[in-house]
Amino acid sequence: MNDLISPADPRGLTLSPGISASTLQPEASVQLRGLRLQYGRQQVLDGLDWQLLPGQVVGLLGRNGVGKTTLLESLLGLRDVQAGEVQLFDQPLDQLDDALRGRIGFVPQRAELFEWLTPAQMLAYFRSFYPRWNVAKAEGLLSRWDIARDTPIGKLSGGQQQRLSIVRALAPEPDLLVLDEPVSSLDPVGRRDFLRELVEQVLDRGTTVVFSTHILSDLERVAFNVAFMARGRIVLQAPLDELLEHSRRISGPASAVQACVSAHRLQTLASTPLNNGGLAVLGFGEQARSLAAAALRIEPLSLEDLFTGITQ
Amino acid sequence: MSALTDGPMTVGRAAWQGLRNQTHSLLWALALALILLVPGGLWMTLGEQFGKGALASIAAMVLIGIYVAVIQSLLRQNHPHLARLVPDHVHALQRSALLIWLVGAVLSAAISLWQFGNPLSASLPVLLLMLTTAWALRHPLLWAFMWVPFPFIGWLSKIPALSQAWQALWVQAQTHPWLALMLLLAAGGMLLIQLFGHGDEAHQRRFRRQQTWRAAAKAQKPVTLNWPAGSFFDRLQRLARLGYTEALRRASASPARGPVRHSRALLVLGPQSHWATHLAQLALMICIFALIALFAQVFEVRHSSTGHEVGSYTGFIFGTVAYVMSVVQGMRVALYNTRHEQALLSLVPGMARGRVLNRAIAVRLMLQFLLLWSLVSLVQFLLVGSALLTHRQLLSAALASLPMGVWLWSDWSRAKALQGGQLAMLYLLPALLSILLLALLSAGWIEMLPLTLLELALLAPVALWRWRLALGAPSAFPAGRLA
Repeated sequence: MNDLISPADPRGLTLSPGISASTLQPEASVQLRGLRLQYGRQQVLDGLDWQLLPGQVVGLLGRNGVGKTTLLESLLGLRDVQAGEVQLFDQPLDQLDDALRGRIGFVPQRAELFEWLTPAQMLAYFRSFYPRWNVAKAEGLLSRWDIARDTPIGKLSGGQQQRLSIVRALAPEPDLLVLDEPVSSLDPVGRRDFLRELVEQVLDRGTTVVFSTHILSDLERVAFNVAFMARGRIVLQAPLDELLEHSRRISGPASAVQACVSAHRLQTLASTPLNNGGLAVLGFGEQARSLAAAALRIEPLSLEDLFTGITQ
Repeated sequence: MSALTDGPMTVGRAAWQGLRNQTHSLLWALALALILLVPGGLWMTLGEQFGKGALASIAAMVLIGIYVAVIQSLLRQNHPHLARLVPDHVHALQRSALLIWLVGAVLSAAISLWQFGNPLSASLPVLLLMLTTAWALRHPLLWAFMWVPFPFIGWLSKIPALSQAWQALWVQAQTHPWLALMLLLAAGGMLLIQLFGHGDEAHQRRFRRQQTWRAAAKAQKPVTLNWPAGSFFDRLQRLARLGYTEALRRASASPARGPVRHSRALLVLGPQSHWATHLAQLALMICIFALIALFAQVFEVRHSSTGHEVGSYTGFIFGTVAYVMSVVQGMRVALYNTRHEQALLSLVPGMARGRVLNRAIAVRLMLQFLLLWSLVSLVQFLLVGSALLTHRQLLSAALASLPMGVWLWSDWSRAKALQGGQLAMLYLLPALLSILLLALLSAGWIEMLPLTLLELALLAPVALWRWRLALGAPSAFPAGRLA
């Protein structure tokens, strides 16, 4: 199934709901503490804590309108938060200097390119601003992804513009790569190519990558860390393999389910009352793999089940 | 190159590359030829003084045009995300803006020195116009207010304190022209730097607003400016679109049969291209002008000089002719940009196709243009003709804009998106033509009636050719499918 190489993530971080960010490791690429942002009555970020370590690849999941774009933009200082602190590479965001900017790559949800230039002209333009620029990589990607070098960008298709946006973000070899739904306008081949590039980037340079997506199969293909956003917070983050391995759906009589969860020290990710008066719980914990109880129905979970359960 | 010049060179090159990518070389050559031919012709036919004046005016216009194009490109490059994340990007843009400002100052001073023997006489207004335009590009609402002060110059000059201060400033500027120029350059430079945002939320809001205005100005799509509901501008917009809304309501309420169906097809172009919206917008322009005139009457404002009054009326003529051109451009662009909607419309049972559809579109567009052109010309003659401007000037403006109407007859199935150069030509050609016609009339080479007849005679075969082209082309909807 996985036709991409999945680099092991030795620092794969498991966050449980409620864990304080202050206990996290230092030297993070990204460190968010207590971010709050409200639009009218809607609390988009509600005291959000988050940390991304160097070399980590995190897929950010959440339902439409939950605030993924807001979070990614706040992380880069593109959006002002009402409270909280953002640090990139241990520097406060308001002290972002040019050296630090050169270490960040960003692919916005909508490709924002200079439509009046050609791809070759645009890449030459940005090349002049960055301290390092991998010409071979940029040229290689242009060729492999069939992006016409000398056609005005405004005339390229949406998918080609999105690919070009990715090339622009990868060419400066950033240490932190933030991608907001980068594959939304790509076809399956384009998505596979992009993910392969992402993996190579991580393997070659140890880049920290965070990307939001709705395409769960892509996440499963990359198989790195997954972070779920709901109710203005990161409610769960864990390496995907671990998450799938240590999660189970436990259903049956309510008292039996609760007893099982507490006996095996599982965290309740979601709980849903059943029509027959019973209870279904999405449980997560070390002992989930070995769960067995006669009165209960215990099922392994797919990423889609987890997404549905957690983000409800 | 040093780090100081690398950035400005890069962003400046991007501005040039953008212009080059979007405009065919032939258009550049044509524009250059026209720019040189008109003053050259005037020089040869009417003498050195006339030709020199025309050349200086056109050189100043070209300078302002190039400056505006570069500043616009710099502002477009000042994307909030890039400002925030690309190293040194904002500073490079600022340095570029300063550089072009300095070059503009030197060139305008040179033009002024050549024409008037004084570096300040023409460069001062040119530089002020450059500065104001740059700010108006960033804060588009300024466009609406830029021309408002001109009719009030006379009134302002009656206020002793202001008048004395201006006189003192002007005397100082005349005495120390280079010092004045330096001071203006420094102040202008500081103001220019402020144009560029650093990626904060205010910058993002401003950038989004700017994009909306740019799209509206170029009529790149049926733009709805999102004014807060119930606000003055929102109500004004609704009022201007009342005719279109009513037409749409009627179209939706009753079944379409026969030719009605074809005329309804044009509703697909959106409110900006509907004749009722055009009339409402024209009425609004006249109302604003009339209000200013009324204000001047009530408060006994008198212009301090004939020149100011002529300037006010010339501004009105310029504004209304430019409005007619913007409507032509808007309809042309709307036809291309609503092609997806046209595709849906083409599937409607009974919808006209081929020659029938092309004829309906051609007739409708031309009628709209002629209605607006006639009204604008009539209003100009009624409002302005009795004042200080001569009928020659008015006729030059009217005749210069008339040929642009035939541009609406085209093979729409092969239409492409309009490029910046084509848009510039749409405004440049009438401007140059009006200068030429006025010069011919002023020199007494030809009278008004023969000139009108001559233009109509020259225009007729062109119009016939375009008409045949439009009707003989493949079905117009959806536009651009064969391009």
